[in-house]
Amino acid sequence: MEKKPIIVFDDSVKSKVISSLGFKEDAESNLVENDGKLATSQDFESITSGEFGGVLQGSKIPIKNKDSELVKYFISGKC
Amino acid sequence: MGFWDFLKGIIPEKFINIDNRKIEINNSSINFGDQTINDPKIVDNVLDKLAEYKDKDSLPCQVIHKDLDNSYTEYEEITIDQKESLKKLRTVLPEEEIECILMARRVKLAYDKKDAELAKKLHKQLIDNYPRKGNKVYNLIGGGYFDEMIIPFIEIFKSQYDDKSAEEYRKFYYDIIKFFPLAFFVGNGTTTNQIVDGINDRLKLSVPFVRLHAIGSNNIEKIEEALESVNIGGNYSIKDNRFTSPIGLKAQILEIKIKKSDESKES
Repeated sequence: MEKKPIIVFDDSVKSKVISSLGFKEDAESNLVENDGKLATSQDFESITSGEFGGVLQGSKIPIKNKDSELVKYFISGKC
Repeated sequence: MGFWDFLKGIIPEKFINIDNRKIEINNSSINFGDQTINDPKIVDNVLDKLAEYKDKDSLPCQVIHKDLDNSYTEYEEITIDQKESLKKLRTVLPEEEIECILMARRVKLAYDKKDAELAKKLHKQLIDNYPRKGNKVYNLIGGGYFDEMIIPFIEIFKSQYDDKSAEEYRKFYYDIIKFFPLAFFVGNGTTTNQIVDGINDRLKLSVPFVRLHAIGSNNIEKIEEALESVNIGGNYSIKDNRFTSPIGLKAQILEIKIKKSDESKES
């Protein structure tokens, strides 16, 4: 595994990042794919825009803003 | 396409430094290490470029919220450092166990870096997430037992149990977690006197059994010497399991177990 390049964003630009990555928000602030399908985390849970913590390279699956999401990613072997 | 190729044409060439792998953006500026460009247009251009990857299989980089930045870097460091052990653990333990181990390694990393505040926060988080085993796993890692003993036993079990090695290893691992600190690990830094004290201390607690784990001939010999000095008494029996891996690595799991009442009468 090699160290990967990173773009770090903060809350001031979060909605633009969400949009650039191809997600929209539904009426309950859940992230949805451009085709309207609910976007889910590695645990198949829905993610609100408030919970959004980014997208990791290998999977393109959005993660919640929680350390445990990173732990799951790193042990998945997808990195 | 590399990361800096991705940024070419957006960021002035003079800012491009291939040694730097991270950029930080907010709504008005973009930051590379100690350099900052205050220009919202450049931020928009980076995000427009990122949008070109919407329908591709992979992104040119990780995209991470600032709150996760440090955590990401530290878990990445641990994963690179522990690449081989994680690979081995994946073959025998379920993901939930490995998650706990990785989190405990991060607590240790924070203590090693003398970041006491972060270490305490992560330690609490570990215990909250894994109330029954988080602290035990941390103590096993912190004491060096994981790297010296628990990981090497994977190979020992593979050579000993073939198809059932994962199942048998899980039993071994869960028992260690369940009964730690009744288990005693004999490593290269353990002296014979420490083993004697370790056994005596545990037997004084009237525990049903004490297990000693060792890898390597020298450590096995230390257990043999220690047993000659310990007065175990008639209430305990000894079960001495020894293993040798195909590459000649010797291991021992010695169990000092309280005898059942009918066994005591017979002896």
